[in-house]
This record gives sequence, structure tokens and C-alpha cells, in this order.
Amino acid sequence: MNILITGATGFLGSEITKKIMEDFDKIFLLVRNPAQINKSIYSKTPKIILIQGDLTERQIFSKKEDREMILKNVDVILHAAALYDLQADATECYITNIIGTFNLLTFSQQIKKLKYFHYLSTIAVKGDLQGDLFESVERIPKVKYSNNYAQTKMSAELMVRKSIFINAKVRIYRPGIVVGDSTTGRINRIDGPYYFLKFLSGNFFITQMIKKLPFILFPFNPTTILPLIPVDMVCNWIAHMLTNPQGDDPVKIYNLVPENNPTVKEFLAVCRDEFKLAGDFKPFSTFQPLYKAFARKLEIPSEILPYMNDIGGYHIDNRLKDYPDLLDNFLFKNYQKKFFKGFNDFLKSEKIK
Amino acid sequence: MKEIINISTNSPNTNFSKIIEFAGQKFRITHYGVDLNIKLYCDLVTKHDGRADVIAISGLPSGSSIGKKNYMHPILSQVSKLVKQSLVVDGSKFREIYLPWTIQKYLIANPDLMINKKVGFFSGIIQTRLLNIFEEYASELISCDPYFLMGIPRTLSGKKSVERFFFTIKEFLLKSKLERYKEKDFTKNKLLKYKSLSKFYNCDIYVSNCAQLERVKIDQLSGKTMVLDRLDSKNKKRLELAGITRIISCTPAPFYQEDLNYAVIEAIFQIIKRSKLPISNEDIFEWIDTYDLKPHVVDFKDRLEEVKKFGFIVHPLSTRDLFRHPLLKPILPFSKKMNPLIEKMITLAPGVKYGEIGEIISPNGSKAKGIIYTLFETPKMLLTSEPEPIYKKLIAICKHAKKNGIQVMGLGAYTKIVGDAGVTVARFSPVPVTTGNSLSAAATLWAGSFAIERMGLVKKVDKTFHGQVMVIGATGSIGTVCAKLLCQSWKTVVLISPRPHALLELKEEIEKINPHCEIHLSTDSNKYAPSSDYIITTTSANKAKIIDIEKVKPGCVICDVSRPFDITKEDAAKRPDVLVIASGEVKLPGNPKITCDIGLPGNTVYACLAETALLALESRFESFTLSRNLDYHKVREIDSLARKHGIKLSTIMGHDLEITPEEIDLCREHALKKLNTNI
Repeated sequence: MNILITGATGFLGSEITKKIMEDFDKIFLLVRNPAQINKSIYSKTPKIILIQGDLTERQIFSKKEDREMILKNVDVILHAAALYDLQADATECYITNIIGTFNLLTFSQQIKKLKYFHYLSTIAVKGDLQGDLFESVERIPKVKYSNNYAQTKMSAELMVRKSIFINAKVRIYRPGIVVGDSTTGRINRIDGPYYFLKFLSGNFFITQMIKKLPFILFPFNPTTILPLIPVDMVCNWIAHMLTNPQGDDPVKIYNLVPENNPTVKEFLAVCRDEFKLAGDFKPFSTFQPLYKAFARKLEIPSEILPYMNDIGGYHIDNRLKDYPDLLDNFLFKNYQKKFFKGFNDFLKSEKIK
Repeated sequence: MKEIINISTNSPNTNFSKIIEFAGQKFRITHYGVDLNIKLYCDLVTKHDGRADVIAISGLPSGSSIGKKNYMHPILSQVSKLVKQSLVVDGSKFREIYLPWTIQKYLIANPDLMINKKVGFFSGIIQTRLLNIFEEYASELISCDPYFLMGIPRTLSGKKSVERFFFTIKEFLLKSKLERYKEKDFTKNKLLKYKSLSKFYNCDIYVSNCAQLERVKIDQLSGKTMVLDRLDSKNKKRLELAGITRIISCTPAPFYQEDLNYAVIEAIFQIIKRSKLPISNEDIFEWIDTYDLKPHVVDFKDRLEEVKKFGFIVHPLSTRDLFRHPLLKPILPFSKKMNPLIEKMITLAPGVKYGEIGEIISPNGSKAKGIIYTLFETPKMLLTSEPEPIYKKLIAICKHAKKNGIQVMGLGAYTKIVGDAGVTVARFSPVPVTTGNSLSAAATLWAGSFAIERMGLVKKVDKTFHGQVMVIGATGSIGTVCAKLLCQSWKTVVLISPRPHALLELKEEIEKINPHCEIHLSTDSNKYAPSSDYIITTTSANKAKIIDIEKVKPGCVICDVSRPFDITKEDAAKRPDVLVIASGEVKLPGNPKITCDIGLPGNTVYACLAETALLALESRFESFTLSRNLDYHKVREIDSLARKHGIKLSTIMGHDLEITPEEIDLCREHALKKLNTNI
């Protein structure tokens, strides 16, 4: 079995690549610039073959031989390449997420040997859906998106769902909000909930003031679920699912969210204790525009605010049914210490740099 | 393989990439939809500049040529300026030449399509070229620009008012920002709410382009035709759901299975041209011929097969018939005294629905249903009164019928004689109107030849009667048709008319149809009467004797097509050995139930009713026969249609009563006796 991985240099892609090294004969990594990667661990194993190509080009591969080789040899594709930036503008998101996926789909539809097309989507496709996010293929939720990333990922997911392969099956994974390693809490960059921590740990005048307030009005819905998942856990899961695909359905969607998720209220309470705030967070749903302006000042992307007001949960039946043995021991209570530790470590390393 | 990149303002879900083979070349066509994001649009155009052979830009507001000027939205030139290395096309050139040309050609080839049809444009401004064409052919042209563009429930009628409207709002249009149009509600309920818009709803043919159609909400289009610049699968599905009967799509025939827009088609031709120069008009003309570019028609057969509806108007043939009405039955005993009064009084009543004809099922499966309407005028009143009030009543019936879904209307009995024989009625009626004379003539001839065969006095060899047929009044409209038809099955034809020069003309025409036929011309019918086996009289000689019945050959069949009759009842009674036929009436296929009495026995119906039913069965909703003139080709056509749909001669009518086959046999015996004694 040979696999082609796109986005192998990315956050999740690199972790997954490391984990599936044993299970495949050849691993083709589609990279824009192989010269930069030569030094990394990948090139040391003979299994790994670096292929130069750019998904945003219609031809993808710069060399014809590469194209032929992939056409002949690949059985499985993992499409993990995407532009993940909540603040990216529409053009960038469109070109990478939609055109990139589209070009890859058009190409992979020609691979006769192809058995599986794995696509890394995101839980953000939920948008402002007022209800549970299903794993059903038939349902296409009509929702609005607060950022271009989610919007384009949904369009791309729809393209993947609708595309017709010769005999390949499509598996779509929607990881939740990825947080640091489950044992060390290590993170590579500030993202998602970490923005909030960064703000609270900052030395802004406003932060200091807020810490002393008797209570804090904050635009959140206390019942909203935060679908947090540690990076190693999600990579383990995906790697396992990649190597053991289940079922005969042509298209299958997995929401990769742990069974136990903290609510926003729990999360904020933990933050309060950690950062020693005087007052409690009080939910406050109006005046969102005001908060958006405020958030911009505090360097928090305003795009994350809607995630604090979601209604409804996430269906995980497909995973529980197909992979009941997957380790799902995530509990925010047990994890919270590592969560903050990872964050503090990251801040320290940033300072050193 | 040539690369064509198509960038459009559609949603990204419509992206595709496929290989198309055309004219021996392969084209890789990749479509990117950007969802009306103009910055992204421009970025993609610049990104692919130099990497694709041709960049096809679509979805931007197209130009419009109104009057002598071309108007272009600034965004179009802005985008095409971005491209420096590749060729860039937007499809407008190809569309502007090909579309009007192909539609005009189609309309010329299918003249029936536009007869008496109202044409509606969702927005005429964007399609001015088509507006010019349809203005020529349509009976009425309605454009919905004010509603489509601005939401004002008004329509424009005619090209001029569309132009005027454009010049009023020109500045706004050219400066308008590109944004997603709100879906305009063109559903039946919405349109019928406003008087002006309901006009648009009543159109028979809609003209639109693919992009426009996506922006309107439509429903209930049954019985309507949609003319589209191109048809993609999404719109096809929508139209099918809305119940459309026919779609005429102008997608050039080689491409109609692919969802390609005109920008891509132009790009393909740009590559075929093998030159960097923009394509010229001459190129397009050449391609139209070489690649046989033409529109294609999508008929929804199941819809065509649905039961068609026709109407037919009758009237009481005498005052006695009036008293059949249940309301008038009580005064039947006094009818004689009341006759003149009632006859006059009842003319004040408008036409009403009289009865229905059940499902007529043709052998080829098509079905039709009929409604019979009646006037209350007796023949006397119809012939003596002014035609205008009768027209009004007939038109009122037609309007009522249109509401009930009637698609074609037939005029029965004397209603087709009133005034100009249906021409005025057809002009003002919302449904096509036919007099049914074509099939009446054909059926009479059927009856004639049936009687002749039954009499068996004329030899028949190879479908040709070896005898002599005489047409009296041959230069009249019905006479000409009869002569032309009979010359094909009779050896000798005698043409009688008081106008010798017209006779000579007719002779020449007949010789063209059948050069082997022997033709005699005369102005006196009595000269050839003793030798003729078959006589047809179609004169309008009011009560003047046109033939001496005593001189007629025994065993002769006389078809009296004239109304009033040329051969009086008394004359006919004088010669029991001569068969006088007035008309042939027919039977409809599928034995439909007729819920009212139309004066004929059993399931027999008038031939003119059958013609109306035939037009419905054939879905030819047109004014087939009008005025007093008959057309030879139409009679032949309706004759073959009648045979196709299984309409058969049912009874032969004499002067008042039907003639049974036994009566014909009796007549034959008389004739044989007389012939024997003569010898």
C-alpha cells in the first residue's frame, strides 16, 4: 500500500505522517519546496519520497514523471493540506482550500488503483448551525460562517463528498479544536483557545483592570460545548483510521471530538482560577460588535467569538461504531494543568527567541 | 491538449474540470466559481495568465447593444485588461452573432411555433438582439424589465418601450455594483396579483438566458415554451419541475450534453482558429456551417401526451332544438306560438357550455378531451343579424374556454359562416380558432368515394376509378381543392365553371399534379351530366338550378357540398336511382362519450369537430382553417392526419337524414333497372 499525503509539513499532517510510517510501503509527500525539507527526519527513511508540486496549480506536479508515478502507484490519498488561518482573506482561503482540493480531486479521480481518499475537514463547518452537527452525508446544513476558513473548508468538503471516483471510497475527518499534547501540553503556535489565555496572561492595562473587576461581562453562552481534542490524540485516531478503514459506504464522515467536552462555562471557570481573576465571567450575548472591536484591540481574533456561542453538540456515532477500541480518555479536569503548562512553556520559548 | 480556464461568478460548488473533444482536438476545460468575489476573480485571472491557452471569463454583466450603441459594464473591460499573455474571451462575440441567427433560422423553419403567440422576456434589456427578432414574429411582446430589475410590478410591451426604459435607467445600470441578485418571484400567484404582471403570466413563450433564469423563482409553466440561450442540467431540472412543455435551447448542437457556457465555447473556437486575433463574424458564419451549430429542442413527452383540450361551438339548427333545453321544456306545448318571440329573445343570452366529449384516444396514444359550447341563435338569426354581436359572443366563449384550459377552438355549423368566416374571431380570440372546413371537405370526399365503391358501377383499377367525375363550380375555393384531389383517383375529370379563364388556369395546375388525367372544361354542366358517374357541386348559386337532375346518368353519385344545397330535396326525390350526398360525418377514435345531443346519431360527430379534435391530438394549436377559402395542401394534410389518428367515416348524410348502406344498395338496384331498360 502506498499513500500520497498533502500538507505533510503542516501541523496535523506532520504528526500523522510520523505515525503511519510503519503501515505503508511507500509514502509520497507532496510538497511545494522539497529543498527545504531535506534536512528533516522524513528524508532519512527510504520509504518517504518527496514530490514537488503545488495544489493550487491545475497541473499540480511540476514534473511529468512524478505525475505518472503517482498515477501508477498510489492506493490511498490523505489530503491534509489547507490554509488554516481564521483571519485569512477570501482569496487566499479560496485558492488553497477550494482550488487546491478541487485540483487534487480532479487528479485523483484519474487514479485507477485508488482505494481511499481521506480528507481532513474541520469541525468549524458547523458554522452557526443551531443544533447538533451530524455525520450524515445527505445533510448539507445551510449555515453562515463567521470566517473565510470555515466557509471554504465547507465548500471543499462538499466537493469531496460529491466527487465521483472510479472505485475509491471517501473518508472525511472533522477534528475538533486541537489543543496541545495530552501528556506534555506542548504547542507550536497560539491558536483558538490559547488566544484567550494569551490575553489574560498579558500585561495590558486593560487585563490588569479586568482581573480586579468584581465580575466580567463576556459574550458567551454557558452551555456551549468546546470540542477540544489534544493533538496527539487526534493524530493517533486519524492514523488508526487511515490504516484501518471501516465500512463499505462510498462516503463516510467522522466528527473527531472526544466524548467528554468541557462547556465554555467550565473552561472560563478554570481560566479564572489559573489567572487569579477577582470576578466571575457573566454571560452576555448582546453588543457583540462592541466586543469585536474590543477583541481586535486585544489581539484576539474576533472570529473566535462565535465559537463561544454555538448551540448544539457533535454526533460521534460513526467513530464509536466503527472504532470502539480507540482510546478516548480525554477529560478536561485531568488535562487542564498540562494545558496551562504547555501554554506557559510556549510563552517562555517565545521570549527566549 | 489545450488548456481553457473558465472563471465565473458562480458558487464554488459548480467547479469542474473535464476533457472535451471537438473538431479533432482535445481541450481540458477547468471551471472555477468564485461566488461573486471580484477581488478573487481578478486574482485568479492574473494567476492563470500565461498558464492557460485561453482564459474564458463568464458571469460578469454582459454588454447590451441598444439603438446603435454598445453599452458595456466597466467591470468587463477591467478584468480583460488584467490578462497580458494568454488570450481572453468572454463569449459575448460568439453569442451575439450565433444566437440571433440561430433563433431566426429556427423560427423560419418552424412557422407554426409563433402563430398567435405571446412572447415574454424576463428582461429585454439584456437580450436586445433577440427582442428584435421576436418583435417580428410574435403577436405580442411583453418584457418584464421593471419588475425583474427593480421590483416594480409593471411590464413593457414592445421593443420601443424597452429601449425607452433602458435610457431612463441606463446610468444606474452601468454604475451598479456586482452583487448577488435576490431571487425574483415569478410564481403564478405573485404574477396574477398584479394586472400588469398577469399579462406576462399569460405569455405562451418565454425568452430568457441561463443566468437570468437562475435568478427567478418559477412554477406552473405547463403548456409553455421556454427559449434559452443555453440549457444546463440545473435549469433543466428546475424547468421540468415547473412543468414546462418544451424547451428550445440554443446551445450549439455539438456541446449540448456538456454544461458549457458561451465563454468556454468561444474559447474553444478561438483555439480552433489557430490565431491570436479575435474571432470575426465571418469565422462564426463559417463554423455554423462546418460544425452544424443549431439549437436543439427538449420536449417533455409525457407532458405532450397529457390530455389536450379542445372546444367546439354549436348552435340550435332550428327553433325546435331550443326547446330541448331543460329550462324551456315546460313551454314546449306552446312552442309554435312562442317561436318567433323566443327565437329573438334568446339571442340576448350569451354562449354557454353545452356538454363534453370524453377522452379521445388516438392509436398512437395521444389523448384529447372536448367541451362543447353553444350559442342560442338559430341559423335564421345567425344569417340575418349583424355579425359583430355574434363575434363578440364567440370571442367571449373563446376567452372563457382559455381559462378552462382549452387549447384550440372549432366553429361548428353556421357559426363559421357568419361575417368573414372566423377570421375576426381568430384575431381577437386568445385561443387558436379553426372552422374545420378542411376535414369537412375531406370527409365529404370520403363519403363520395365510399358511396361509389358501394354502388359498384364504376370500375376501379389500381386505386383509379375508370369513370368520369364532374366538379361544378370548380374554380371556387372548395371546387379547386376537390378537383385537385379527385384528379388523382379518377381517369376523367370535367371542370365546370362560369369563368373559362380560371378553368384554364386550374387545368394547368391539375396537369402538374397528375399529367395522366383526362380533363374536360366546360361552362355548361348539362353537357357532361349524362356521362358523369360522380358529380360534385360546390357553387354559390342561390337557388338557381345548376344541373338538370333528369339528365343525370342513372347510378350517379352527387355530392352536394354547397350550402344552401344546389340539389333540392324535391329534385333528389325525383330520381331514386341517383344518390345525393350532403356530407360525410365521422367517428372519433376511442369511442368517446358525448354528454350532449349535437344532432347526429350515436358517437358520430361533425367532421369540423373532428378537425378540431385532430389539431388537439396532434398538439397543433393553430388556426388551421379560416375564412371561406380552402387550401389544397391543408386538406391533404388533415386527411393524412385523420388517417393517422384513426378518424373514420361513420355516416353519410343526405339532405336531412343519414344514408344507410342499405339505402345505397336500394339506389343501386334502381340504377341497374334503369340502365337495363335504357339499353
